[in-house]
Amino acid sequence: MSEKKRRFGRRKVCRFCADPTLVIDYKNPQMLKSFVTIRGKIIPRRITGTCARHQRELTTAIKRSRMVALMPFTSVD
Amino acid sequence: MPIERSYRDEIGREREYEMILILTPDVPATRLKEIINRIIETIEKKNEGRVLLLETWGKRKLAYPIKKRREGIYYYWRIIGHGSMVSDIEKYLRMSEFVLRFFALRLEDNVDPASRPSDVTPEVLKQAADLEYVSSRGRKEEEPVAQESETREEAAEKAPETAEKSAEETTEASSEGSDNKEE
Repeated sequence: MSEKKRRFGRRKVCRFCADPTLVIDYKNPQMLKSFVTIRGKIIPRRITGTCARHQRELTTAIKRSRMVALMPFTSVD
Repeated sequence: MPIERSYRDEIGREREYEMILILTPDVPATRLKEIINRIIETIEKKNEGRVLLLETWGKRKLAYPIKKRREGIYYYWRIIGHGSMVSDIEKYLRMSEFVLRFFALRLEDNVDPASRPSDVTPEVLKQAADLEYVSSRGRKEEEPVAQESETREEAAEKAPETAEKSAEETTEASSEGSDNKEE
């Protein structure tokens, strides 16, 4: 069955593995913004292609960022 | 009173912390001075710690309102000392009415204090306690926070001195600031 499964598009690569200079930092909401939806929810890694390790770091960073009001917990706009 | 030390700490080693402090934008100048000086005092006098870095980010829009405020005055501290230092600071900030939020984070354990020279001058500390200077550091829309390069931090620290003087003259800077207040 698995041979029948077809992949669409190209394989996603973890952005942070591809570019080691990118640092995950809760003080940089600008960068974290691309990993949350418009509503402010964290995007799952199956969508973004981030690897497990970096997704974990991202999650804590986003949550910290929310605590200091640099990122919204939720927003409608 | 001797300084409390965690059993985990090796002798002669300290811990490095970073802290974000958010104050209400309507804090009176005298109270601002008091808060900043009190924090510095708690770090240096009471706990024999040191301020490694103090960045005044100035007024920024909050991602969500806190205590009905839509803006806050942001500070970024980097301090070194023992664990009791942070709880002392937090104890004070918790009681302080003009504090919107504080968030301290341990960066590293068992740091050799000598390996972390402080580049904080009395000037920087004074500016941080000066309301006029703080409000002149108004937010540039979504400015990326200094985090990646040392050079940018240095540039940001040098720039305010010139920016401060020109802020009163240039309409650009002042109108940007007044827009926010009206909202």
